[in-house]
Amino acid sequence: MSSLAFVIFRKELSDAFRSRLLVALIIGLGFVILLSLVIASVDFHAKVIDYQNYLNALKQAGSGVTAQPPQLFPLQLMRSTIEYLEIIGAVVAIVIGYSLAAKEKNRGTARLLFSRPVRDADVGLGKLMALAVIWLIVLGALSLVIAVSLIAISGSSLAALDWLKLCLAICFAWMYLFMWSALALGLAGYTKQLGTALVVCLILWLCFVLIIPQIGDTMDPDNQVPGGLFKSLQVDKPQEKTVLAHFTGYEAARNLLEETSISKHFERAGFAVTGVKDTYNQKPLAFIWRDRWSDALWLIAGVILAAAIAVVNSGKRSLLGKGAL
Amino acid sequence: MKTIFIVAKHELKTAGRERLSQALLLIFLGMVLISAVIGWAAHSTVMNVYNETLRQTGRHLANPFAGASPLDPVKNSVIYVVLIGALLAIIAGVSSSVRDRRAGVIDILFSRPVKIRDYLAGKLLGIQCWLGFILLAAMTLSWISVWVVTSHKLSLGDTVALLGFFSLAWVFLLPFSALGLIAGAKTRHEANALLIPILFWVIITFIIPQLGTAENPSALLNPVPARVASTGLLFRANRLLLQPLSVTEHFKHVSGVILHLPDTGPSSVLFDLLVLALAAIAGLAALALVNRASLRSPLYE
Repeated sequence: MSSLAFVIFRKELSDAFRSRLLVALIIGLGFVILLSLVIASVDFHAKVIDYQNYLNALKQAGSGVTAQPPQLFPLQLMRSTIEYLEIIGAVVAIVIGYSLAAKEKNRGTARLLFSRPVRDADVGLGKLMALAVIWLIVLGALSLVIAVSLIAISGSSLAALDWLKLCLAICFAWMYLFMWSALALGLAGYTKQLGTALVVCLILWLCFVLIIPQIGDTMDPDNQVPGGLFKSLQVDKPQEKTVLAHFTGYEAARNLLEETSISKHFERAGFAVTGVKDTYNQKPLAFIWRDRWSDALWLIAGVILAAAIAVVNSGKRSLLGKGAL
Repeated sequence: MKTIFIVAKHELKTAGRERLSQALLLIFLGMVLISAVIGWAAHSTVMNVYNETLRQTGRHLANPFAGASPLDPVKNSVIYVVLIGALLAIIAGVSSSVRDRRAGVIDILFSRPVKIRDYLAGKLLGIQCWLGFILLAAMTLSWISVWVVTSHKLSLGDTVALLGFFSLAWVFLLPFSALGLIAGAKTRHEANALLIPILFWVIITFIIPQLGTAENPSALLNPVPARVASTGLLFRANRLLLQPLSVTEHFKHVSGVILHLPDTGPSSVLFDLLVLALAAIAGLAALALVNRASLRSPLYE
C-alpha cells in the first residue's frame, strides 16, 4: 500500500470516530446486541422456572417421570445477536460505507484530493482499509460486551473452545459487515445522485437480508403448519428424514434460493460456530468446518467482490460526479 | 381545499415518473405475484409429504390443511406489506419532501398564499393515492394468481376479505408515508432523512415485539403474529407496556383474522384496529407540526 493510501486511511479513521451520527449508530447497535443477550438470558431463566414448576407438579401428582432440565450453553444465547448483526448491522454498515464516499462528493473534497498526484486505487484502498479497521474496532468492542455478558449470565468463565468459537463468529460478522460497507462505498461512488445509491443499497438489503431468507423459510414444509408439520403428524426425526428423501428436488430448490443470500450464509456460519443449531452444539471446530466451509467461502467471495466494486468506483471519474446513474 | 388537490395531483404524477418508486413498485407487485406461487408450491409439497407419511406409517392422521382458508396462498402478502410496503411508503414520503427542498420549489411556493397544512395534506394525499393504486394492482394480481394456481375462483366473500386486507394495508402504510414526509422535511441531510424512519421501522418491527415475546428477529418475519415464546415476568410487563407500539404485529393479527389464517383468533381485533387507527392519527398529528422554517432550511446530500 502506498503512503498516500495510508494517509487517506488515517484521515478516514479519525473522521469516522468524530462523526456523531456514526458513533450514535454504533452505540445503538451495541445497545441492541446487549438487549438481545439480556432477553435470551431472561428467557432461559423463565424456562428454568417453568421446568421447576413442572417438576413440582409431577412430584405432587406422585409421578416418577422426570424430564430433562434446560441446559445453558452460553454461546447459544447469541441467536438474536447474530440475527441483529445480520439485519440492523447491515443497515449501519451501509450508512458507514455510504458516508465515506458521500462526504467527498458533498464537501467537494474529491476535487481537491484529485488535484494532487494521487492514484485512483490509493483512494479506494485507503477507504477500504479504514472500513476494515473501523469494523475491527467496533466488533472488537462488541465481542468484549458479548463475552462479559455471557460470563455474567452463565456465572462461570467461558471455555477455551468457546472463546475460539466466539472469535470465529465475530470474524464472520466482520466479513459480512465489511462487505455491506464496501458495497455501499462502491455504489455511492458509482451513482451521480447520492440518494440513489442509498436507496439502491437499501433495496439490496431488503432483498438479500429480509425477502430471500423469508421466502426460504416460508417454503420449508415444516413451517407450513402451526407448531411444525412433522410434530402435528407425530413423526420423529429419523422418520422425517425418510419422508423428506422423497422431496429432494423441492428441498434442493429451496436451499438454492437461500444460497443466493449472503445473509443466509453469515447466519448459517454464525449459528454453526455458536452452536445455536443443535447439530453443531459442543462439536469440535473440524466437524463444523467439514459441514459449513462453503458459507465461509461465500463470505470471502462477497468481501472480494464488494471490495473490487469499491476500488473501481472510488476513482477520479466516479467521485467527481461522472457516475452512471 | 383546491390547493390540496393540486398538490396531490402533482405528487401523483411525479411519483409515477420516478425510477425508484417504479423499482419498488415492481418489487412489491413481483413479490405479491410470486407469493401465491410459493404458497401453492409449499401447500402441494405439504400435501405430498402428508400422503407419503400416511403411506410409510400406515397410520390415519388428520390432514394438516383440512379447513384451510382459500386465501392461504396469499398469506405472504401480509409480510410483504410490512417489509416492502412500509419501506415503499417511507421512501415515497422522503423523496416527496426532499424533491421540493432540493429543487428550491418551497420558497416560490410559499411566496403564494399557500398554507403549509394544505401543502403537506396534498403531499400525503398524493402519496396515499399512489400507494392505493399499488395496493389495488396487488389485490388484482393476488386474485388472479390464486385463481391460476388453485384453479378455483375466489368466492364473493373471499374477494371482499381480500379487499378488506388491502384496505387495512392502506391504513397501515399511512403513518409510514407521514413519517417519511416529516423526516424529509425536517432533516438537514438527505441520508438522515431516509435513515431515521428506517431505523424507526426496524425498532417497531423487530425490537419492540421481541421485548414482549422473546421471539427471535427472524421469526418476526412470519405472516402470523409472533408467538409468546416466554412467559417470564419481564416479558409479561413488556407486553403490557409495549404492546400498543407493536403496530406491525397488530396489523399482522388483523390481517390473519381477515384472511382466515390459522393461529389468528378473533380476540383483541378491536384493540388491534384501535392501535392502527391511533398510529395513523399520530402520523397525521406529527405531520401537522412541520413548519415552514424546517421545509425552507438548507438540505445537504
